[in-house]
Amino acid sequence: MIPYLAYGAAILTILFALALPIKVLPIFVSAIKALDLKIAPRFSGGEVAFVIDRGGYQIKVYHPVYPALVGEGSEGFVQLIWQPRSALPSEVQDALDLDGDGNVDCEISIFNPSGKGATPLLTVIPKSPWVLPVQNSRTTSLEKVLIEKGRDAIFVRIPVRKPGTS
Amino acid sequence: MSGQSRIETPLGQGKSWVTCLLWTLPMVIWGLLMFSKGLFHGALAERVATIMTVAFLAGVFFWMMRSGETYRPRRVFFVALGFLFPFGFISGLIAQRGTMSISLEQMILGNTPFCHLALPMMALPAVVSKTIIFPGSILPTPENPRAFATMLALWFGATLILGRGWCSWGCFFGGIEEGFASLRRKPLIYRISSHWTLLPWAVLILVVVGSAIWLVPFYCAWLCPFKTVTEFPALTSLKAAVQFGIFTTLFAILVVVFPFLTKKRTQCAFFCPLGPVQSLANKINIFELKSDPERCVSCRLCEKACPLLAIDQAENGVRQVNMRCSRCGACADACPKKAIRFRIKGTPFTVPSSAPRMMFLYATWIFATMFGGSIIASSLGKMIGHLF
Repeated sequence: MIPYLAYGAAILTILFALALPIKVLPIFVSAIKALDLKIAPRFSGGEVAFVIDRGGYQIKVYHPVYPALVGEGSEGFVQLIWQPRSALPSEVQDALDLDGDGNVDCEISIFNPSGKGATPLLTVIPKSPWVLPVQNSRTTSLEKVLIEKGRDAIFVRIPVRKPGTS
Repeated sequence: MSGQSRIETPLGQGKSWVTCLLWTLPMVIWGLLMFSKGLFHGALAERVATIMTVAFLAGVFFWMMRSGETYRPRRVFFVALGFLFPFGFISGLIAQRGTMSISLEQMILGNTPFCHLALPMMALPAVVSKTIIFPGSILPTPENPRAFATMLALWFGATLILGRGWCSWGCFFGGIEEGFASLRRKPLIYRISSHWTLLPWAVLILVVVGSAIWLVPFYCAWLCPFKTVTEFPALTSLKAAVQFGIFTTLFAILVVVFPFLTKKRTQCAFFCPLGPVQSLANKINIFELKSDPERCVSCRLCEKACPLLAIDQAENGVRQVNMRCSRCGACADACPKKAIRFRIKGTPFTVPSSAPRMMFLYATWIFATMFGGSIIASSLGKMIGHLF
């Protein structure tokens, strides 16, 4: 009896291999889609909270992200994207409300040189206690302060501390 | 005959050309079905590449049928896959971005292609926080067709069909190593302690825990040698430069030098974190390579041939295939007594081995044509397009 079952399983494996590209892969992908997994906001920056229109350019403001395996960590960042980069002046000054409460949370200045290899510089002056200061930083890292010159955008991650934590 | 293993003729030996061609025909039809888009709707380079790929795959399968050998024909396919993959991948990156390095912008936008080696590190954060700690995308996009869901689905399907056979029939990275391991006729280093085979478990635990703590795919960020032949973070910081130094060094040592010296696949056997996962998958796979203790004469040729140190010595001195086996067939081909054979779990040794081997090869080659074949066809198409 067992050998017959074993051969049956082997034949099923062959049939499964045949069905894999035609039927099974799309079903698997749909099943994974249904799990509602998301790319960790540490990488993607999270979700856009609102967009500020400055006439010639826009600023996308993301929800604050406090990376942690479980729950939220005490420190994180707010991602901002200025675009199009081509419309930005060489020095950008902005007073921004990051959490949408109507109060300015920080003043940001970006030195945006136009040369191909030129590195932009970021300064953040906090106006709220949860925003952390940055002084002329050119750090390019996902983990800490970030200022990255994209093809037609400038990506910034402002370090923040979760309200209520010391 | 009862209680004794039966001497049988491996498939191919004594079979006529016509019989072997007939066995190969279904795989040719499968190949044509898989690549019909490239064959009938592609540019000239793509059509030529598709015809070459179908002919190549058919030739390798026919070789396996006719000779009764598994290892050498598979190696030809696997090494071709291993060396063509980086060519296709890198030329795709150069066409898209102009560089092999990936910028932080591309990472934030989720354009990093997902890799199966990253899968074990994704598990814990996915379960705990429903997030994937990788700068790619969940579903395929025009900018990133190699999304997490696609690779997970492919890996899952491959694992059900092949178990750890994935490491010798599907994983393009293994083909690179096997290429370097094949360069020498005899190894310069013979003795390797089997204790080293525990190292991948340690690497697996380290990268799973490290990834959960630091919320980055730890192996990809710091240890993966194959970033040398795929893509790596742009060298914009000291950290990125250190990472670059580590993975190029690991590539040189584990993928080039050690395989060349030992004729073993050292990265796969001693370092790859996916290897232990695939070894566990062998437990649920219906196919296996098994040694018949009544026939084994302890000549140890299988042990020498195995590229993954997957042969153990049982108490009575006979050799046994362990769970690390990647079904490459090296031991079965090397055994002068045909003691090691492809089996279907649950069947006795009295069953002739040609049928289980045949069923294994069909299941495997259907997958290999679909997955490896498409990579070979795509890379060949790019190569022909560049040349002419």
